[in-house]
This record gives sequence, C-alpha cells and structure tokens, in this order.
Amino acid sequence: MKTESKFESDDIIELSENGKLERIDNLLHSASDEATAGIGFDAIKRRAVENAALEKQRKHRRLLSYIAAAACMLLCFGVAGTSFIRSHKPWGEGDMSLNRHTSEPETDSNTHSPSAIPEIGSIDSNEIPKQYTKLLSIGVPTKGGSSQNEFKPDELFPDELPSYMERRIDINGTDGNVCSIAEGKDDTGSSKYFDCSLVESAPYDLNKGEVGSFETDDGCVFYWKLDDKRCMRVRFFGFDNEEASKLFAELTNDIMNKRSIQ
Amino acid sequence: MAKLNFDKIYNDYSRLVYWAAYRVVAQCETAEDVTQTVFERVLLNESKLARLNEPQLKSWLYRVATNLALDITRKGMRERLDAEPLSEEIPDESPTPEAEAMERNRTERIRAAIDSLDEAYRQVILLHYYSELTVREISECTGISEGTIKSRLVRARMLLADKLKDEVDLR
Repeated sequence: MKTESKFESDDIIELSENGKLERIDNLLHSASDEATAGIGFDAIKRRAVENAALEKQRKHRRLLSYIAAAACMLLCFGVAGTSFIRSHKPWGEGDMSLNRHTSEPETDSNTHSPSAIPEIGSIDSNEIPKQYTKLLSIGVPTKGGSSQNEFKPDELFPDELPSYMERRIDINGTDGNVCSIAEGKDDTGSSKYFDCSLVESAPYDLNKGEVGSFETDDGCVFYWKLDDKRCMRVRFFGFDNEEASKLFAELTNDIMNKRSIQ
Repeated sequence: MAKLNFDKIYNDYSRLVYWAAYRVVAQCETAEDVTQTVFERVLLNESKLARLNEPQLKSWLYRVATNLALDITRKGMRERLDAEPLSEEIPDESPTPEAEAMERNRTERIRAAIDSLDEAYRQVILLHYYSELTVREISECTGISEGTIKSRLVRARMLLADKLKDEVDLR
C-alpha cells in the first residue's frame, strides 16, 4: 500500500485563525489513515484476481463455443452447397455428364477398378442417359415362326467371353429373375464383368425386336425388347464399346439361331 | 510488449480507486465491490493498460471507479454513510474500550462532516486526504484546474473547521 505522504508538495495550508486550518489538516490526515486502515484491501485484491481468472475462463469457453458454432455453420453450408451443386449442374441436368462420356471413346477400360464393379441391378438411374446412343432392330427369337414366350436367359454367355471370367448363375436380388454373370481379371489386373437377365421394362421406349444401348462410365448396357412384358438386359463393364458390341451381337445371334430357343 | 505489474498497480492505486468510489456511493461495502470490479477490469485488459503511462493509468482508474459507482448509485443502491456499521471503519488496535469509543465518535463525526459538504468540496477532500492525490493529480483525474482545486480545498477545510469546531479546538 502506498504510504508516503504527498501533502508536502501542496502549498495550500494557510496559517490563519490561530492555526485552525493546520489542525483540521492534521485531523483529516489521521482520519483518512484510520479509515483506510480498516479497509480489507488484501481480500478485495484476492477476490478481484479470482473473479478475473473465472471471467477469462468464461471468455475462453465462449470463444470455443463460437468457433464450434461457426464450424457447424460452415459444415452445414458446405453440405447444402454440395447438394445444390449436385442437383443444379451448370450444363443442365445431372445425367448430361454421362452423355458427355458417351461421346468420348472408351480409353480407360484397362484401369477399371475392381471395386467399381456394380452389383447386379445396381446401376444408378442417374447414370442412364436420356436416350439410347444406339438403336438397332434385330427381331425376336422365334420357333416355328412364332414369338418365344418361354424364352429364359439361363446360362446365356457369349462364347467369346474371356476364359479368365468365372461364370455363374445367380438370382437378381431386386426382381428375383435368373441372371447369368461372368467376372474376372485380365493379365493387367483390370476387372471385367458381364451379366444378362430379363427385366420388365427398358428405361426408354423400344419397339419389339429392337435393341437400345448406351455407355456409362464403366461400360455398356444393352436392352433388347423381347415382347410387351420383357426385355433382356445385358451389361458389360471393363470392356470397350466395340468389344462389348461384338460380344452382345454374338450372344443375340446365338439366341436367335439356336441355343436359347426352348 | 510491455507487461502490466498488477501488484504494483494495486498497491499504488487501490486507495485512490476505493475513495473515488466511496465519494459517489458513500457506502464502504459498495465501494469495496467497485474497487474489486475495477481491478478485475485491470486484469482483463492488461495488454491495453500496459501501454498507458502513469498519469493516463491513474486517470483511467479514477474514471472507471467513478463511472461504476455512478452506475450503482443510479440503480438506487446508494446508502448514506451514517447507515454503515461503525465497526467496519475502525481498526481493532484501539487500546481500551473507552479510547476506542472516542476514536469511533471522532472518526464518525469527521466523516459525517465531510459527507455534509457540497459535492465539489467533498470531492477534493476525499481525493486529497483519503486517496492521497496531489493537487496536480486531482487536476489530471478530474479535469479541473489546479487553481480551482486549491481554492476548493482551502474553502472545504474552512467549512470543516467550522463543522468540527470541538475537534479542532481540542487538538
């Protein structure tokens, strides 16, 4: 506590009325010292230090909560922004991106990732272009001049499928139809996948006996309209377009000519 | 960056802050609360206050103490000094109960006399004698000229001498 007196410097005490003012000056000094001595300055200081420390902690917590809230807001904006961008692509609707891919030659089939092989029937509708990129009328399988309603795609594999592709018959999880599947990896480690199954409808209109096809990021998909209720869907992944078309033609010829007519 | 020496500031100016607050609130407990709050603010604004020189710091402390006390007073918390229990004001080292009672009475009368002065005189008496500020320092804190402060001090002392005639004559 400051104890030294500063009163000497103030030349304001006038000796008057028999030193009355001097006496009142002394009286005030002693009264102020007594009054000040009774003040608990140490306790006040301790409380001030404690409260300031608490306030600093509160400020720190408030700052952290503001940062957390700001991070949450940024995350929300990010999620909302990403959703918006996905649903409003600058070149139009989302599936247009696939159309751009379809116009480009397949050059990355050898780098096809094994993990990219889709499950049967799992092709995302977003990946389907607005229309087939190729249409071809090949007719329908017949027996004795009439349409083959009993046509079933059991064990329908193109003969030219690479030998390293393991073949099996499976049940399509989405509609319970029988599905012929072949998959494997070539010498370079690129995955190849093929499947063939009957589905109720094609994504876009087809006339009976007509084949519509389009390309996706990973391969080619063919729809062959067999009758009013059925289409044959054939998918190739990891194959280039030409190779897939050749294998599909082989398969359809095989069906049309002999093997699948039951 | 300069670092604030809180202990030194507290030792040098706690008395100034307390009596500056007391001048407004006229209540010991409230003046203590104001003093505590002022020094909390000192601790929370260390980096800013470290840039101030001594007169600026002193002026800042006086202003904050006065403003806080005025806020409290405006909120209707002001109580007059004569409502204070006297025991808070008097140290325990009084030698005998009789002497202690005399001291209490004397201190009480002096404080009552100060409180009865007009605000202008009361201010200079409290700042000069209780906060131990020189005339120049009072001028720096309050913005009142040194000449005015000196004349107010003389006038205040004369008024007090008149009010405390018995005390003055006894000494």
